[in-house]
This record gives sequence, structure tokens and C-alpha cells, in this order.
Amino acid sequence: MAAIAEGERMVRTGSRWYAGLTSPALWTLIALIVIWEIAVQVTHVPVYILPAPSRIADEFVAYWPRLVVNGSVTVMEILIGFVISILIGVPLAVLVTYSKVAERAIYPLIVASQTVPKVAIAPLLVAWFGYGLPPKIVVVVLLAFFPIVINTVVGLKSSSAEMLYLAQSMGSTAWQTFWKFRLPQAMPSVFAGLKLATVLAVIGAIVAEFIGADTGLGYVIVVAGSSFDIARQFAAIIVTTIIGMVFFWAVELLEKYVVPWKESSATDRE
Amino acid sequence: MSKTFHGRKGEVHALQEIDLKIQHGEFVSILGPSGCGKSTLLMLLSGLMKSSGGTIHVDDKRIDGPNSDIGIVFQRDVLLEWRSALQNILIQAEIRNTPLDAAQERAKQLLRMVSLQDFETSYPKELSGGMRQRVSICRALLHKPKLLLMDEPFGALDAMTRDQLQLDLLRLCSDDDMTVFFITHSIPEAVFLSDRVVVMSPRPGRIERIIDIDLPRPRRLAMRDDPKFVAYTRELTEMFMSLGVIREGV
Repeated sequence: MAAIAEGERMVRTGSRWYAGLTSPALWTLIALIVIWEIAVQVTHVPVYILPAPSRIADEFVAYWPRLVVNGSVTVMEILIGFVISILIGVPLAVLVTYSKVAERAIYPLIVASQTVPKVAIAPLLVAWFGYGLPPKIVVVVLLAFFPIVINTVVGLKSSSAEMLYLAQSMGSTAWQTFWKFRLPQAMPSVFAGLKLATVLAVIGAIVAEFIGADTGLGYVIVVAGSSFDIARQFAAIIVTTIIGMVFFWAVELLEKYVVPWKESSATDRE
Repeated sequence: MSKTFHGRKGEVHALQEIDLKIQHGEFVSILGPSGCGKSTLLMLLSGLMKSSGGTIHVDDKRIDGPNSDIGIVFQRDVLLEWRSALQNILIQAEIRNTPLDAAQERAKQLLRMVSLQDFETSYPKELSGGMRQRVSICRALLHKPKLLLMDEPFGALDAMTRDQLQLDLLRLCSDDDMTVFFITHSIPEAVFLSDRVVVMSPRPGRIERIIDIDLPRPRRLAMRDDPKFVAYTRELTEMFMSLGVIREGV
């Protein structure tokens, strides 16, 4: 019985992988690109308004070395900002969950801080931290730490009263209750927060580079835009998109290892 | 040895003037309608909740904090989704810092006793409701507690699974010299399992009567058609009718 179930599962994942390659969405995308190409060729839209996909592809290849250099800067900002967001967000969530005082003194401010438009703060950060890496990382953290805090708090609070009673009935210490009951219980929710944070971290890095930078994909997009080099802009946007997707997939992959007992749920919730 | 229980809960008066002695090794059911304070009684007994007057003694030891010398089973199985069935039972030993090798042997033996030996490595989401609750009972029994507290453990199960789990429970209990405190609102279930049935009246919860169930052990499902069994259930049903908990006609 178990062997059959295992076999079925393999067939199912196998067919899903196959379906991924031939998914209808991929065909839709290809169709759109083809229509775009034909439309541009037929209507002769000027290249500084809308270049054809083939033109963007050429630019992509020609500018690839610079895209890699600038892309790696952006990736660095995203990763450092993301790690700092976790290092700040998770302990803060634990504090808010365990301390009534912290919940009432800090939590409302964290939530309220989200109404502040981050893009509006970015010039301030440039004034404070200059044009280097720090202001970008700060913007990434400001955007990314919020979903991590909120989702970790929700996760830690999702332990049922019965579960905590059960722990107590075993003589569980606060430390054991946290590590053996509350934190594992919170993990699916923590990962939902992390996945949201990956998306926001990419946005944060690009926006920060818009405001003041001399390197990075956001910088490439701004500079190319000011010289009407739309193809180069598209090339940079494509790289940004790929970075965002790979980052998201990496976190999703990690989730499958850390929380194998839970079906991924946050992906389709956004 | 005896267990003395005096409790009085103020303000909401969930429980009033409860005075109950439970014998060592006894299977006692608390039978009453929803909201009669049955669960409160269990929480007081486990020490997870403090009484607002009166004292509770288990084995002459006064309970005034969480009593970790017990096993506890709730209506919801409260299995840890990230642990296999076996690991779910072993958490009891991990938290108590008892040797894991011996605990593992006992956990496997418990799973065998409830016919789940093939599901040691299964995760809770792969188990049915009845299987999950059996694992939860095994977890409560791993450390051989002297007192097993059960709060409507079969309340969420279908009738056939319920029959099976009642039999499983009796089998698990017969080996050990263990006291069981079983909360239910099913009259036949209380009669089938218990040595004594404590009838509670609705709010504020009071002990209405205590009935000794004089049926031989081991209990068999066929006993439910026994005239003696039927007489007990009728007596209890009539008691609840006179209390106004059950009404016939409109």
C-alpha cells in the first residue's frame, strides 16, 4: 500500500514538473511576446517608445557584463537587508508575543509605521547615509521586516490553549515550550512572512537606487530612462524580475525542507 | 490511598460545593450537559487552573500549581503536525528528560496496543481523526501517569470510531494501576466505561448524584444490550429529564 502511494506521489510530482514546462501560462507569455514583436514590426513604433522583444534581446546580450556587475550590487543589498530584517523581525515578534508591555508599547508603532511611505523617506536616508550601500539596506529593511514581524507574531500566537496546557501538564519549561511547541507551530506562518519579504526586499532595493545611487539595477533603469534607452531599461527590468523570482523560489525551497509537514500556502495568498 | 477533591469557584460560580473522593485505580466519568463546569473541574484537577476556594489533593499531595504527574487528553487531539506519530508520543519523554530508548520501546508498544504499529512514521495529516486521537491517548500514557484526565476525548468522532476507541481505552487502562477521570456528555459512554458515574447539574455546576456501575470487566460491546446496562442508562436519562436538561415533547 505504502509503496503504491509513494509511486503515485512520484508520478504526480513528475507530471507536475512536466506540466510546468508546458503550462498554459508559458504559452500565453510566448504568444504575448510574439504579438508584441509583430505589432512593433508592422506599426513601426519608434525604438525610443517601444522596442521589439528581439531588440531587447540584443541589448540584453550586448549589455550583459554590465548587467551582471550592477545586478550583483542589487543582489547584495537585497540579501543583506533581508538577513537584517530576519534578525530584527523575529526577535521583535518573540518579544511582542511574550511581553504584554511590549505588545502594547511597540506593536502599534510597528503597524502604524507602515503607513509612512518608504519612498518618501529614501531621500532623507541618502542625506544621512550617503550614496553607498547603507541607505539601500535601510530601505530594504524598512520594507521587508514588517511582514516578517507580523507573520511571526501571528504564528507564535497560533498555538492553541490546549497545546499550551498540554505542554504545562508535561512540566515543560518556558524555554521548552518555545522551542518544542510554539516555534515549530509558527514556522509555516514565518515562511509566509519571509516570502512576502522577498518581494518587498527587491522593491526596496530598486526604489532606493532610484533615489540616489551610482551603481545597481535601479541606477541602470534611471540612467537608461533619462537617455530614452528603453531596450536597456527592459533588459534591467528582466534581470530584476529574475532576481526576484529566484529569491522567492530559494525561500520556497528552504520552506520545503524546514516545514515539510505543511503544504505551502502563502504563495497563492498574495 | 484516596484522592480528595474539594473545590469552589467563585464569581461565575462555574462549580459550587464540589466534594468528591476518587479511589485509586478507579474509572470515574463526569456526566453532565454543556456548560456545567465539567471541563473546569478537569482543569482544576490538573492544576492548570486555580480554584477560588477549597483544596484539591492527589495522593495526599495538595495541588496548587500545574500537576505534571498526570496524562491529559482533550477533545481535540492537539498532535504536533511537524512530528510523526511516534515522535508525537515521545515528546512526553523529551520534555520530562527521561531516557529516550526506554520511552521509544514503550511508545511502540502503546502504538501496537491501539493497532497503529504500521503508522509510527506517519505524520498527523496522514491519519484519520480516530487514529489521531489514539496517538494522543498513547502520548498521555507514555510516562505511566497515575491519573489520566480526559476531556470529552471521543466527542468529535463518529459513532463506530467511538466504539473502537472506547475498547482501546479500556484495554490500555486495564494493564496499569491508573485512575481515570473521564468527562463526557454521552450517557451510554459513561456507563460503558466507568466504575462510577458522577452526574452534574447545569450552572452552577453541582454534583447531583454519584452512581456505581456494577458491570463485570472486561467490558464487551454486547453488554450495552444487557438489561442491567439499559437500566443504568434509563436511570441516568430520567435523572437528566427531571433536571430539565433533556425534554420530551414540545
